[in-house]
Amino acid sequence: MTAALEVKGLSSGYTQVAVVEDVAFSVEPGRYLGIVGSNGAGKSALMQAIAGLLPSLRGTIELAGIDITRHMPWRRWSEGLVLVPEARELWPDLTVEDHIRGGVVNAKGLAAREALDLAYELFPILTDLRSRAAGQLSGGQQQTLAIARAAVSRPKVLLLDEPSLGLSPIAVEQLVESLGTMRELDSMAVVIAEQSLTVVRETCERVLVLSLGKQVELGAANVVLTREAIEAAFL
Amino acid sequence: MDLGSALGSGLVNGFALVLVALGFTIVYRATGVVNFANGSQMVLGGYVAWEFGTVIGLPIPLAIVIAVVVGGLSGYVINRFAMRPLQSASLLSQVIVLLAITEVSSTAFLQAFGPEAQAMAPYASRSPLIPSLGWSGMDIVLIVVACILVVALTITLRRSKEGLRMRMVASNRTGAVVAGVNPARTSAIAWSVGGCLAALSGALIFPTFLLVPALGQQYTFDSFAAVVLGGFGSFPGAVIGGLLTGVLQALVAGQFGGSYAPFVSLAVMLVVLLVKPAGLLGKSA
Repeated sequence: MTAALEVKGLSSGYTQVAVVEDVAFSVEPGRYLGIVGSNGAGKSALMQAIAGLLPSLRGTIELAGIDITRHMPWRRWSEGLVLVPEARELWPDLTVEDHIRGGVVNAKGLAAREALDLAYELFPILTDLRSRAAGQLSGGQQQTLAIARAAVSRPKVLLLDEPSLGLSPIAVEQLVESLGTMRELDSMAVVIAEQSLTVVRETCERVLVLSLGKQVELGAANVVLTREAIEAAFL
Repeated sequence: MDLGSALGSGLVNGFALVLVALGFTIVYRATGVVNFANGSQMVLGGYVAWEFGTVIGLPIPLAIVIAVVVGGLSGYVINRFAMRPLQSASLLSQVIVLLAITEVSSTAFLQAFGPEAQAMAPYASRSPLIPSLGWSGMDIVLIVVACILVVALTITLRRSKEGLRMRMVASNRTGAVVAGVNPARTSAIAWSVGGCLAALSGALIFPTFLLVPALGQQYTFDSFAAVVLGGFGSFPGAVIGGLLTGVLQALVAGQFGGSYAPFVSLAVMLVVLLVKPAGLLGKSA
């Protein structure tokens, strides 16, 4: 089976200096991969590089077998690679409904009505908030909205950068539940970059460990998350 | 000039300003850039309509369409070759470049069309159809066109996908990018539409007023004052600001003489920035 996302020897950085070096992994359709590491490990840089917001210095990124390494971010989006950034990047003065419509504004063959129905089905919490401006939502609600905006376009690969950052324990539980619900979207692969191991443990089958921009471990979650690699990455 | 005529003349000028202010607002909302070259685009529209309609002798409606297309192209060119390279530059740098474009345009108009005031051929009756306000057929055409465009643009920006893209880019550019929007394309569309509106305004108003090269600066400040008064980024604000500025200018001109009218824009900006910096309907200054 062709991998939904395959990253080969990827190095990326803010200038010519690599922040992330020689990372390689693949994710099958419908699978969840966690990327863990401490602050400064390069998780966000890796996610931004895959989404096209940071230049790739070396290596390749393939989406469903197609090389997208040199594609602009909006082209990657239309090809089915969607990022939920760490900062969420919502539109503070636009309503929840506008966000869902905006999530499919460039999607071919996907009507806004379908997207709204899907969003409220996957994330019922948004139903009563549909007319509220994003800037007035709580942190947890904003994160749910950011994920919903990305998921409604039914991407091949969804990248979630630190989705639990700044959330209360209850909001993290709801996030885990939402990520579970998204498995209903057949064949969507999800890559979750997280500092919190709880979310990764609950949702991901495989885990990649990053430390100081380098890949130190990649394997099954139940194996990797008990190894010394985790300690090495976080301590 | 009696009060009715002053009010009527002010409203006509105000509706012309509304068109420019709407273009100004579209560019600002989609890109965050304050278009200090829009007065020049308005004068450009006037000269193109004059050249094709009055000098070459094409039918006036066709000359107006050509003016609108050239205005749209001017917006595209300003965006592509002046604003896009300055995307990461400070607001001050962008404003300086746009003011420079206004100055260069004035000189270019002077070289191309001469210093004489040009009278454009009318596109409708010049005789008053509503005597109490002094409105001619041309004035009524301008007002009707402006009203139709205000409604059409408001609906388009509220309901269309392109309108949503513009609101997304204006609210958070990175957010728009991660939702698959190419902000450069959205900016190009906004600048082109802004240029079309400014040129249309010029093509419609200059048969009423005489056309001279230096009017670009005056209309730039008039439309800026209208947007400041109405509130930056607000479409209803652009309409109210345009009309109020036009009427105030006509009333001052009627009371104290035409040479005082240009000071109205400066006075409006001064008072609004001191008393209500966000403008009448704006959220932020």
